Amino acid sequence: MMRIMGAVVTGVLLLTTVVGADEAPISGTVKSVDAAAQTVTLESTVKGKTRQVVVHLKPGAKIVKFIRAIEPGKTGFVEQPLALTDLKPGWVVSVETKHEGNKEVAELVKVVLER
Amino acid sequence: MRGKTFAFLALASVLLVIVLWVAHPPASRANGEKDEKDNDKGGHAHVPAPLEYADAHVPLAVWTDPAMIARGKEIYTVRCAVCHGDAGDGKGPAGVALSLKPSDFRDKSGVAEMRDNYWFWRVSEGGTGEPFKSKGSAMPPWKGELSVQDRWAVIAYQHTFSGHQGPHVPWEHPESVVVGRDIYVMACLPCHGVDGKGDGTVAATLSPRRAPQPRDLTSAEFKFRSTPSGQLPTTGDLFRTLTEGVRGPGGVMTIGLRGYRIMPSFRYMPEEQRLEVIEYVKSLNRAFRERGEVKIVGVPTPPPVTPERIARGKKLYADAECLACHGERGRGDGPSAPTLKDNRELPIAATDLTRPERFKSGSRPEDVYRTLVTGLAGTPMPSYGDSLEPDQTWDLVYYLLSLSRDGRRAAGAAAK
Amino acid sequence: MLIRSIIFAALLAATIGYVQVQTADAVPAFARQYDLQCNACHTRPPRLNRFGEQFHMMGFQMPSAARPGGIVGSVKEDGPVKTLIDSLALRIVGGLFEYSKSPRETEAKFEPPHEVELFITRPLTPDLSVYVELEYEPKAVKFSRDRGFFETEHEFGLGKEAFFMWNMGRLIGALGAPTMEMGGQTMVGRHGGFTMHGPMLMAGKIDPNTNFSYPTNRQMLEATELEVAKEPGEERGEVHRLPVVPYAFASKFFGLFKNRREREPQLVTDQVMYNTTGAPGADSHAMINDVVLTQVGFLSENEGFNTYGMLRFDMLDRKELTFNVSVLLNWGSGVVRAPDPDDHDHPGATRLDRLRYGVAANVRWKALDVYGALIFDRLYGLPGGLRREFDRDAAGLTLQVDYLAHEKVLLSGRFDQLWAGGLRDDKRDGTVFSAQVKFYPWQNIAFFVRDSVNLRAFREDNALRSWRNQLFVGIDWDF
Repeated sequence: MMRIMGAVVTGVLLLTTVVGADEAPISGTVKSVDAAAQTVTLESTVKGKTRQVVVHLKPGAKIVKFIRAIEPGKTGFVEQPLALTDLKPGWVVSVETKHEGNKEVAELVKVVLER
Repeated sequence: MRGKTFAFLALASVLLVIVLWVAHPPASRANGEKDEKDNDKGGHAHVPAPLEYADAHVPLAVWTDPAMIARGKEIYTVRCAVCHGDAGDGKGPAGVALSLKPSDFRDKSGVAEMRDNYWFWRVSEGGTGEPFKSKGSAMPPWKGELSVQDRWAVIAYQHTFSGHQGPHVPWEHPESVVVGRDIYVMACLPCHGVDGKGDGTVAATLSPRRAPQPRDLTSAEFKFRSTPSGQLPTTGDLFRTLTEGVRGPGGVMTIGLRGYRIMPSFRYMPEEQRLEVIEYVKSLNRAFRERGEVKIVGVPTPPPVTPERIARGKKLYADAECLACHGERGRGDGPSAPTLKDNRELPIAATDLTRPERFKSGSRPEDVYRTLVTGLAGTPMPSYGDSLEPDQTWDLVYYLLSLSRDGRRAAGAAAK
Repeated sequence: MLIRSIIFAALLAATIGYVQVQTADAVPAFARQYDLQCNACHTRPPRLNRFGEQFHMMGFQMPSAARPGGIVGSVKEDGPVKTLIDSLALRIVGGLFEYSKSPRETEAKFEPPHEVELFITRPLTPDLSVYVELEYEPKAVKFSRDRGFFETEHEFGLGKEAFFMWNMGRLIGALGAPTMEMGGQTMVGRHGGFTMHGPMLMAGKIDPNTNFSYPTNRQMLEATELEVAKEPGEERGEVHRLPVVPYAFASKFFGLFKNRREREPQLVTDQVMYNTTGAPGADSHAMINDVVLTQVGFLSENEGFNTYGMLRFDMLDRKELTFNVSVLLNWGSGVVRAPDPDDHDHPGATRLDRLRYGVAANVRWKALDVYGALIFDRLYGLPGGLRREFDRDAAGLTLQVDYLAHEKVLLSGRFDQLWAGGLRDDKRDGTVFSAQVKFYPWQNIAFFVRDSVNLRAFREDNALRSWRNQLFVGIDWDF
């Protein structure tokens, strides 16, 4: 009986760990870019803890920044696509990631601040 | 029976201490603690602005100046809207992507709780200060790119999103000083009174019919300042007074009590709460927000103590007529001492300079220097800022401190 | 005896008061702990001003500024010796000289101070404080259980109060209430909205009276002594003169007993709920929005048990004026014993319940401090045989005025009116006026001269009125 309960508790804990691993979005400062490996290393601070996260970009992942629309009569923001190599260390970006295997994988990177 | 009672009490006390250490209450937004839900509302932890920004109040006229608001709108559109949104709702395209959401300026209650100096601090330093850094704030510091006037302008424009007409000041938004008010009611009101006029019931019995009396916080005269004569103190000055308390003068005293205080020291009050109660105190006196730029009396580095300095100081002591009040030997028994009155026409004692532990504004050399330069407003102690050069002031400081053993020790330590 | 008492007190004072530790000098405990002069908390000791009331509410800590580490922090910062010495205070109080006059006799004598109290008190943590009094009385009046009468003897032991005070705000928060941290203490509520300081739990040997609009344990006129005299050739000490106490709070009934087995009388001026000599029990009080103080608790009394509730409403300080009013309701279950219907000198089989209710108010304006209480008592459960002989209703009125004529001089006047109950043949009303001049050469040292006058007719056979005039010259020193 105790063993069954222990297994259930462990399973629940593991499940929450797995479920909790999907953090969307992650925002942080770009530390480095690896175009060959298609990764971006971010330094992110949440709840007082700073950690480095290596984000793997899926093939076809979008990297965008926001600029004012230049069309007449429009004042809002539009997305401007960027290449991975356009990202510079020190920029603040936000990524929506999913946990696949033991990697953080993203399809969309938004530039929040260029520094 | 008695033994059992004592044993029971002792055991109960131990158990209580253990329970106290173990039991933690849930975090509360009301006192600025971290709260998970804050992330959705843009990190609404309205901690007090740090001391270096505490006097950075936005001039009252700016809030409603159309030219400043227009200028602010231009700046906001280019620099802020991408996160905070064109509508000021915190939903700019980059902002929605952040884990810690940007402030929603349309949140009336959230804006009302923000003091102007806090606002200025956040725009100036961005998310580089705590607790925002630990929350992962992406807000950049704008002090390097925007002038002070530009920052005022953008704040004034952001303020318009809240729908509030009129200046953003505590007397329009009492909720911005509720924390300080609660502390004030508990700790300060019995002496300083409900309205801060120094007319609490304790005032009548503390030192009746003579100075010192609890400060009228609504008046223009504050004794302990680092600002020139005739000016209000800085927030840092108020912070120092609150932290150190105020030491009592001579007269009726408790046997053997050393350097005792007439106003308590609140040094164990958490720093944030001290800043909050000071913000409330400042809100009682509109002049703190109307005075413009704050000038501070600088205290130069203490020079070495030499017998020549002390000798010059002794001569200055006589020439500046210090001995008329403080007496030849500095014991507060000068010929004018019995006639001294403060601004409320209450008898006031000249400080006994041989008892530095009784110096109300502190007895370190820099404290004495500052007191000489700023004077003590509301008392007969004048400011010597205009009549003494800095070097002369140090001469006088060292002479005054030479009158006591503790003073000599302090002077020697400072000069090193 | 007198000399021994003085030497003992002086030695205690010298040991506790004058030991030099680092920069610590001899001062009363709280003044020492916080380097604060006495008048910051006291109108004049022992009466608390509004700041002192807040200090008491905080568990003897600075309002909104509790020392974070408690006693551990104090030991680390100040060292163990200073921490210990700062936790101690000594009070010597009482008459040096007494002059009393009645038509029957006039008496003048030198008296030792009637109380030497050692206080051990300090916060252990920001939420938990202790307060213990040890007391030495050179001439304590005790009822001898073995001999069944009163006698005087010297006594050393636990004094009036010994309790811990615990701020339960954190516990309430742990149960889910919104809380906020203010000065190291957890308060319930939200800034700008409902706030509650406490509830503070006081448990041990307590007197809950401190929070009342008329706190008898802190009013300026000390109770006079119960005078016991032995007739020539007799071993029995009889009560010769009852003390002058605030009549509003006294027991008020003639003929009652505290218990059956020891047959100890409950004197008409005995301190009972809501102003006890300190009784085992627990009290919980909380300050709501700094305007309303609520208090409930239970205390044992004699063979019975009291429950009580009190509400106090405060008007905040403005223009040196403040005002508060309190209402009290107390039910004492089986707290006294009726006399035997057949032999009034002995307790009967019946325990009585007592309903006590009343109102008190305090106005402070500049140097004037006026406080008073009107309290009614009614006994329940009288045996049938006593119904005609026993008046079960009583009331007391006490009105006191203190005026700080000069920084060093406090003038006090108190009017006491007792509408006594009890055995109709024995009961007498009492009316007393007392006046006092208290001189404070230093804040913690006072000399007083007080005079009490019996405004009613002298009655030799009644200890409440067997005197005309009592004059005391005394000291009230705190170290």
